[in-house]
Amino acid sequence: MTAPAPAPRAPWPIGRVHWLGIATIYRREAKRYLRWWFEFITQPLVSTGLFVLVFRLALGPDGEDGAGAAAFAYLLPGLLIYSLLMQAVASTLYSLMFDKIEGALADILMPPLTAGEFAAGYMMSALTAASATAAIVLPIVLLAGLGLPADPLTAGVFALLGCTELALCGILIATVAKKWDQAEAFVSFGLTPAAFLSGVFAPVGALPAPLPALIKLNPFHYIVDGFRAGYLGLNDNPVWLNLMVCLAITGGLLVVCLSMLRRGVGIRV
Amino acid sequence: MIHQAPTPRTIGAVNWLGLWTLYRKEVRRFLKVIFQTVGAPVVTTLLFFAVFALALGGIVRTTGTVPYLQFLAPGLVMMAMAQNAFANTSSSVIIAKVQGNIVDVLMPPLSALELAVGYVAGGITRGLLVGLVTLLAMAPFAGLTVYDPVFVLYHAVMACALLSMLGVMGGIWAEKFDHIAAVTNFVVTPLTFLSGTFYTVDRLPETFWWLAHFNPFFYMIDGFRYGFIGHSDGTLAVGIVVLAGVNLALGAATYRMFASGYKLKA
Repeated sequence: MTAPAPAPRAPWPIGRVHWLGIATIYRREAKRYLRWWFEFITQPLVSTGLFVLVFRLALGPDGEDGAGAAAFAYLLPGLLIYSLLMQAVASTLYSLMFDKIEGALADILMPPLTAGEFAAGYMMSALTAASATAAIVLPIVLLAGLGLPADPLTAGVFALLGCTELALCGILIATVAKKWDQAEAFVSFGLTPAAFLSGVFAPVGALPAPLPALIKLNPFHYIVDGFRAGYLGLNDNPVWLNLMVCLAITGGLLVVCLSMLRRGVGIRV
Repeated sequence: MIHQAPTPRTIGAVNWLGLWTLYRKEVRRFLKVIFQTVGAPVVTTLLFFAVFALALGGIVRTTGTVPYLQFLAPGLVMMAMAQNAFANTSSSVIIAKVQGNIVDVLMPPLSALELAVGYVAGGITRGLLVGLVTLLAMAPFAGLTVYDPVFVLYHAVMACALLSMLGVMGGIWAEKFDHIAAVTNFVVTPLTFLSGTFYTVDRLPETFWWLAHFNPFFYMIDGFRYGFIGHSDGTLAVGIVVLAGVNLALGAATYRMFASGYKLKA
């Protein structure tokens, strides 16, 4: 007499969107940050704090015209958005690179997740990490004398779009890079210079001749300019132009990113 | 035919071959990823220079009688040298400890002094290389000339040695990468940023001004800068003595750590 064969388990019905899958990636990423909480908190705290001190002291006493103080006030929102953008790219890039190098990426590629769900999980965790960084960095710039945003909605929209762009960049770099040092090279030779030279620290108009035109080719410029428009009401470009450029770049990156993930470039052997 | 058993190599008072091998290992370790270990810090430093020169009006400003860019460039070079000398030795020791291949360095017949010298020389090499490349890249834009090469060289080597020894000690003390990250974030980066790289310490409030004069990082930057612009904020002789004294003390401490096997040998 044999035991009756167990009835085959019905496949788990996944709806149009695999919500549980997205939530699981998100939870997995969140746990990763919590494990590195000390570095996660102290790194932006120290680096932004140092930037604030150095710029304040280097820009010098206010003088009669208050030029130093004005330049400093202009710079603070730039420092804030700079920290958020760099956190967004670091989140997706280093998580994916780590899994890729350690061979753990199969755990993400095997489950029934579409490219969109894959990206959504990582994007949401990157945006959460950037928000947490904002909560860490904002008190520093507030202490340094920056007020709250004049137009929080505009500032928020550009911060969100900017971090989305950078998180997508992180995914793209992680698929293209084969080794750690390649991934880091993209950041140190590509993203960091682009971020520094985007008008993040000072008005573009004050630069010598060919530079302002060149900076208009830098995608970071439109994120920073839009964010500052929302924060201080100061901007080089019309806000609608900043918005259009940011939306177009986000859309373009999203298309490229999804197609790479779908085809498995750099992540499926 | 009878093969003769190989005779043991005789090692004199100093194991030159061992020391040279350790040094070569340390140098090849960072040269293998030269884009990250030399290229990236050079780019970052140049970015700081560009931001201050272009965006913050550095071209037209002066610090005292010195054009601001001439003032800034030596400070930035010193900052890059210091950070990279520290990064080289600290990362080398902590990675070897975490991965367990530190035994490859501890097993050979190398004395504590040879170990210390080998690691520190590697750190100095990286620091000087980063400094030299940064300097060459910036000099034409900053209009930098050498006023006194002896001061430049003395302070460059002493600073790299100081940070390399701190790095070795940090690497030996640390048990995890987090510990080294904490030392970098809370000690090395703040001190290299705030000790007069970007501004003259005369600008600091009274209390901090006094603190700056007890800070070896201040003398590193100040003396190195004097070698270029011929002007210093502090007393040069004090700086020379402070750096020599601190390095002697750190050298002794590094030696003791290797000799006692602190956190290295079970």
